Amino acid sequence: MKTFRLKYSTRAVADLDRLAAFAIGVHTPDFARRYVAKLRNEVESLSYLADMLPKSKYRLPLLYHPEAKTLPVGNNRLTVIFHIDGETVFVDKILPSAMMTH
Amino acid sequence: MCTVSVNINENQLRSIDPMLTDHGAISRWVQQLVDSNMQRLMAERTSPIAYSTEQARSLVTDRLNRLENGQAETVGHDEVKREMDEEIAHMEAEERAYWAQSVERDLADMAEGKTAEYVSGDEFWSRFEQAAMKHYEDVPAEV
Repeated sequence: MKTFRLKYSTRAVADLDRLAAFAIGVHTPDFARRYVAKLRNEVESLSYLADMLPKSKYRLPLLYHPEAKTLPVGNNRLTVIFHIDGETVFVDKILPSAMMTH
Repeated sequence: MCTVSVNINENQLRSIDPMLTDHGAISRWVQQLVDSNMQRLMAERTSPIAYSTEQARSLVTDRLNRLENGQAETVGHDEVKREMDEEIAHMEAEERAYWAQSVERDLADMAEGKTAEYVSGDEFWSRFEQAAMKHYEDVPAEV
């Protein structure tokens, strides 16, 4: 099975505060840490899943890269937009899944 | 359907809302609270842009402040529910606007030929956790 290393776009980094507020129903600091860890595990599954996922059928991810693929995470509330180049998965953006409408 | 038993300090309740004078009125009041909360939770679960716990707590805090200030007598349950619905709709609109602008900024950068830079997973997730913890710290203390 092919494995990839992951890199994250600074475009996603710019949205981190909003993503954290959007994604996390915070009850305790431990909950917040566990949630982030769970989300990280889901996104990092791309290291072995990336190749198997199809090219996105939505228009928005393809604006970020012509070969963009997507992975829903966080109970489908967020969508990771990524592309593959060689041995690396580039995470281009993380958006609310509700934006993937057409 | 299920029936639950709850303990309520009737004197304290009546000092907040003098209309809650008998078992029937208190039962209806509790039922409305439950219905309202379930509706909120369902909205949170199914809404395309769900609002955060922090914002939901802010709604509850505002409502409690209103009760403590004695404004409850003039604000009916329907009005409170309508206000909450309006506030949720407002938050959802703000959320949509933020993400639409974020994508627009990205597309404008791309149109100008600016290429994306990338950081390592450790850096990204460390910053994500910091953002989450900051979000946690911003949440007001439990009411």
